[in-house]
Amino acid sequence: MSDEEKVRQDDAQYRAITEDQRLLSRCGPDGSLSFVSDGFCRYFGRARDELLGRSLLAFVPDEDRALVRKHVESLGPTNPAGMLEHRVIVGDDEVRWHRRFDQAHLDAQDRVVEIESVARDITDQRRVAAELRNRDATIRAFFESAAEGIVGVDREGRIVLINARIESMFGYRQDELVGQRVEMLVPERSRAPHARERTEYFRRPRARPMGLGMSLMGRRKDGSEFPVEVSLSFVADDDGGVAMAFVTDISDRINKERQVRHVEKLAALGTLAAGIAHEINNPIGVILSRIELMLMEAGEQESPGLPVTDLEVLQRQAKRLSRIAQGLLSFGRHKRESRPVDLVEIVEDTLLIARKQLERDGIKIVTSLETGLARVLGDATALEQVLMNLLLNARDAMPEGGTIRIETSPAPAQPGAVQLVVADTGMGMVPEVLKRLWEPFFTTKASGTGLGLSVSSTIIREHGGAVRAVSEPGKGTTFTIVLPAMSKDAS
Amino acid sequence: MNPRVLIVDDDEDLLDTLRRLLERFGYTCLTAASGAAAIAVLDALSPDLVVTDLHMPGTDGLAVARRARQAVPPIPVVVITAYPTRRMEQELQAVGGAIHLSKPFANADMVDAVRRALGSRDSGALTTR
Repeated sequence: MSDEEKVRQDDAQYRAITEDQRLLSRCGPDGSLSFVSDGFCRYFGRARDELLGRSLLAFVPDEDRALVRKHVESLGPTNPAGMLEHRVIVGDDEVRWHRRFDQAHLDAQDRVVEIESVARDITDQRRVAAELRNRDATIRAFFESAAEGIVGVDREGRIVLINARIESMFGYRQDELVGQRVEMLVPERSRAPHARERTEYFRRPRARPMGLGMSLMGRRKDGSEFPVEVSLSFVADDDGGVAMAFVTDISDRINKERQVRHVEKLAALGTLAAGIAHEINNPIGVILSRIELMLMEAGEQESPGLPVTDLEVLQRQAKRLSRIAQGLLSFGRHKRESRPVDLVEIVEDTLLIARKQLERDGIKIVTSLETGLARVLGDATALEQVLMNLLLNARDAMPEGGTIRIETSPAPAQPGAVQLVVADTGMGMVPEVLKRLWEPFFTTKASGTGLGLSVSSTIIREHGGAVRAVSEPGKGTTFTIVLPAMSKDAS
Repeated sequence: MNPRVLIVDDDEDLLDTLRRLLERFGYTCLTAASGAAAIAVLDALSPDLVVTDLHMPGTDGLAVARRARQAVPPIPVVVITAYPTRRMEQELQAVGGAIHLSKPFANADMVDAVRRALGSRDSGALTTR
């Protein structure tokens, strides 16, 4: 074979290979295909004679035809080459994406005689790009919707990015924060230590919580401070990296923790009080008995050598100590019975004990007791204690006498509940007193323990009920207790 | 003869006060300052009634009550306690029953309890308060 022949042969082989791979085609100005490479045929899944002579538009989906036609028609002397991305139909009905480079060939009169086209399939590329865009949108969505605030800070301590949560947490707009020193988000007193921590962090950056064991505070735009929890992470980049701070506002949690501690403290106090009460009851018992004995003996003597009035004073005070101890015991007591209880019986049993004493004090009792009420599941003794407490308080409010009205009925606003009302015509309470009514140890009476209503409200709460007090100075006070009742079938 | 009452309490002052009180009302009183001493007196002298504090170091009021109720015939018991609970009531029932009084008590209530306890001696039944 001569050299010339060899070159021709190699050339032909080369062209065959490249033609084979690439999507080459030529078409007339009307778009009808005049040449298609083997690669083109294989791509479209058709034999050469199925393609030649047909318009290239036949292989373009309807939605892109106008686009392709316009592109082909735009090729001319002023615009001899062009590129277009459009969809094509390959095989029977598969739609793929196609990028074409077209070159128009002109005749001597600058008319388009032929358009030569080289194309590539870009379906996968487009899908990947769409996925990236999607993922990017998803990441942004995550970032913005995070429950935590996210702050990105560079090596110099400047804020480089924040999410929406930071804006609402600190009360700043994004443009007020980005580019500023991150120290603007902490109280002034913390700024220097914070800056030091920050420089230290960049020396050895890693994911870790910030300020362990310290109570961290954030500072809002309006100057107010709030407790935060911060954990740190690091993202390396070409500029020295970005420290990411994940910030949580823990005001709610701190509040709840404080409440729990308060309840625990009260419970511990109750137990302590009960312990003291028991210890006290013993010597009080002896004192009371002894004084009673002495009074008995004094009463029998004609001219009492023993100082009776002194003994009576001692007896009164000892009884008062006993009442305090009793109050302390109730404060700590937790075990309650659980039986069906009739409100009307509670009232009647309590009045059995209290009525005489109250009438002696000039108090008139008026009752309006609806019978047949659904029963309450609970502790009769405890509920009698509550009623007794309310009656005694009412009496104390009426030193000149007055009327106490006791009512039982179904609770008007709450189906399935019953109501007990104790109303007096006494001196009433000012709002400041009304506000503190249920506090343990709060009392307006010189000889009061301040525990009666606190214990009563606890008892009512333990029964699943609620109590409300309404009062006006000079007009009297009304206590309304609502308790959930058992369903009629259960009792 | 006056009914004989054994009074048991580790608090000497209460012991003395109860003695004086019950003697006023015509009872002959024996005293014991501990559960162990009380049981010794029970066995030796068979009193008509035992009044005992419940919580005492060493042998407690419950043991004394049990011993008293095991005697033939069973001796009625009045138990004094600062802290009445359901569990305590159950324990007293378990040893044979006793009347119980809470501290601090009115003297009249103590005298009443003693009377009821002695009354039950004849009927044999003993109810808790």
